[in-house]
Amino acid sequence: MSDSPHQERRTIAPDATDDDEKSGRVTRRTVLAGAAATAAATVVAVDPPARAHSVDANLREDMDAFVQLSAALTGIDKGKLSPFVDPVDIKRDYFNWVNEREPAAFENLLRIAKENAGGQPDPAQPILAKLPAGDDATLTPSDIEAKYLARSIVLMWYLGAWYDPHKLRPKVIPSTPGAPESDASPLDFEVISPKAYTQAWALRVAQAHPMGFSEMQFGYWAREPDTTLQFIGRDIPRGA
Amino acid sequence: MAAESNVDWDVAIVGAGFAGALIANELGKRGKKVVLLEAGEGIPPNINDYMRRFYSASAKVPESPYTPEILDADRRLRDPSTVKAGRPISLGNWKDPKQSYLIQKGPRPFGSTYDRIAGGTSHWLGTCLRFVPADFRMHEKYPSAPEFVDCDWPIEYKDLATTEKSARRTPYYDEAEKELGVSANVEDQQYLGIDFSDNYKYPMPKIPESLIDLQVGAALKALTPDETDFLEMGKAVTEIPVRSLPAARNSQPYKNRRACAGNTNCIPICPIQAKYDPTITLNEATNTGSVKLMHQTVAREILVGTDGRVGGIRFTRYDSDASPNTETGLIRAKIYVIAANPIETARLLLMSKNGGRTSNGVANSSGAVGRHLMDHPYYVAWGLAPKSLPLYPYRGPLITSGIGDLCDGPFRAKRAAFRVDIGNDGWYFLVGGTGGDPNVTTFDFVNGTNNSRLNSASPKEALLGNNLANKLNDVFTRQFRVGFLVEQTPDPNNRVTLSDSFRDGLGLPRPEISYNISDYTRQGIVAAHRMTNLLFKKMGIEDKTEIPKNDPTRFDEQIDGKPVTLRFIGAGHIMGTCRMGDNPKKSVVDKFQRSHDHRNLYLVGSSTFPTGGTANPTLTIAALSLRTADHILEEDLK
Repeated sequence: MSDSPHQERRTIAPDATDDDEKSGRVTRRTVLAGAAATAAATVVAVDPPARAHSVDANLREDMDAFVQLSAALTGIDKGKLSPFVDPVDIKRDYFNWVNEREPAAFENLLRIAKENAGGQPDPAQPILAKLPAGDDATLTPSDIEAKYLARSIVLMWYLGAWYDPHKLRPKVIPSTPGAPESDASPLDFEVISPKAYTQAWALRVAQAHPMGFSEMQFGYWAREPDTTLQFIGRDIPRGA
Repeated sequence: MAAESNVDWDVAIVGAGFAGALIANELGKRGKKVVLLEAGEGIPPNINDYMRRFYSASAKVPESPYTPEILDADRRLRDPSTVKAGRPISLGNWKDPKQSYLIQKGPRPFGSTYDRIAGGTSHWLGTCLRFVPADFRMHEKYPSAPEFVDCDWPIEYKDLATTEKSARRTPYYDEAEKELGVSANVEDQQYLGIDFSDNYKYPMPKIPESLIDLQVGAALKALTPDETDFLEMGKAVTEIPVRSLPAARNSQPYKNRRACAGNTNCIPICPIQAKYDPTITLNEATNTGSVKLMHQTVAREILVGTDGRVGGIRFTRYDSDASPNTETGLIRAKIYVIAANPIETARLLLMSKNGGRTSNGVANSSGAVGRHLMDHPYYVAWGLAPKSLPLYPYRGPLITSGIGDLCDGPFRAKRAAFRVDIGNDGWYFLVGGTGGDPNVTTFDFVNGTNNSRLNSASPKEALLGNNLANKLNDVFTRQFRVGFLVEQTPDPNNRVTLSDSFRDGLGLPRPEISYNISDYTRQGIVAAHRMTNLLFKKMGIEDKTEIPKNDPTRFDEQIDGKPVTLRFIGAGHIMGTCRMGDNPKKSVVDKFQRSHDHRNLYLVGSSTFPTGGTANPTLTIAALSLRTADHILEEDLK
């Protein structure tokens, strides 16, 4: 049994309200307003310019980019991550969750997804090819942020859980050759919400279901499972 | 003083778990006035809060859905000294009284937990095995094993499995299976002397075997006599089959509950209540109109009169852990039943000093109260099946089948018997604790780490996209685990006492536990390890079992000339502390679970088991409870 008294979870942060703004909580809208004021007041911009991080779950372009990015990162078909009829809409919860915590790196990742969309025959490849990769010592600070946020996003879709990307980074850079890439604990996370837990993909990729959330019927366990095409929208050859 | 104090109760029961609920319902159906004192929270209107708590928990331990909450407002484990009805949990440092409700003196940790809530330990798996006949007669059958002297039960298998002359009902095991709603086939369960009444049928057909069960069954068929010599079964190994596990799990709609949908979450909670839990019987009991459940009501002393009869139970009701409001009262009844699980029952008896007149506790003239604490030390091993043998775990009930035929045999003169669980739950509770996987393995392949020992390539793989999904599909579908429930010998030094130093949120002394396993039991674990090796070899499974270096249950054995480190964990099968027997000098209760010392006091539940066998205790708890209810009706309240 684990010895780790894991952090308690938080529920999905509700959308920003006027009350938040009155109370001084920073929201996307206040950031935008502040950025506009800065732009108006500052004629001579200095490097780097103050820039609002302005992606929005309500903008189709941004949400499409998030779904494209997520499909590329997870290996799960985007029609499964974002079904045509999607009353659960976990993608919106995830979008807002990340955007609230890591706005700059998130915008950076969505930009990569937008700029490399529409690849054929595999739309994932151009996106994956442009993601920051390799030894942290060779990456810029913003690329490092994007690299680990991408991992957090994968873990979010797979587990319905939030692994803080800053904790996923190795504490010592460069790491010694052959050492694990991360010294973070796999048990240091918070469940994003009960809904997120039930939408997690890890055990669907395993042709099963999250523990405690079966949508199957009595006796299914005595038969071969459905194919990976049915679960994640893609055939995985046995023994791949 | 509570209004309930003024009612003229027939029976007062402490504890609303399996035993308390069943007895209350039997008595309530016959119009007897019954009050149940439950230390924890009452029955919620639905299980939504339980499910929300479970889904949200990052550490998904057996206690996660239930109250009191595991974590405080600062997201730390709650200090048990602030909790009014505390409970052991599967997290935290076992030796730290700021984290562990039980004050553990060792040398080994007692790893099993229980809940204090209406419904009792609802986090059970649902397994409903009968004890095998030899379990009741260990000394008589194996006189050369000194560990079993003085612990033959005062009843035997047929007392629970056949109709007694005086009984007005069908056999108690049959009745218990009906109450709990057990799914099984008689043909699969007739072994090692277990027999059934004529034309008996379980309430529901068996739960179908999983694909994993079928693979293990095929491997057992390939065993040879040479390979299984070490088991010393005294019969041909071709008689080791995989048998479906009888379970209080609906295989078809039963008593207005649905059939199992394979949520793979029996422990800690079935989201659709296809698994029986005692709230079902509690609701029936209160619906009789003559049973009252008082929740958040902690019994603190059993009062005994100078005539030796119990005259009342002092209790404290509380509002919440956050509120200082409490109220004390006294319940009086004709008959008293303590059904608070072995640790809490012993604790209550020992706390009841009656101003020094019973300074060793109530019902304790034998000095045996609190002694002979038992569990089924659980040896678990895991590995990865070959690519040619996908097993598809994480589907179906957590366990659908096992190997039962090693529960008894000539080997029992020398070493402990075991029962084998075949896990349908992959490595769910093996790597990184309960709920460790799928998280740990997924984390490893995303981050290039190797906590689960599956990412052993050099350099470690850090994958994204299709490569990640393909890899996880490959490894998750091949995860296998097997568990062995090993018989524990009753040892007077495995013991519950009262802590002198540590108290709970009501100021009551917390239970102090001394615990170890005997060499007889260790040798059972050695045989379990050898059985694992054999099974893995036959199935081509690569052993991935890992024992943490600081595991306090570790022990070393020489096996086939090689040093091997083994360990065990708790099975949740808490037994002993108030053993049943004919001799009042050596036992606490008689064969009807009535105190030898106090004629109107019954102690029920697995606390009365003189030995533990290898079956989980619940069905036998239920059968004995129904028998005690009959006895109360026929002898005490007629």
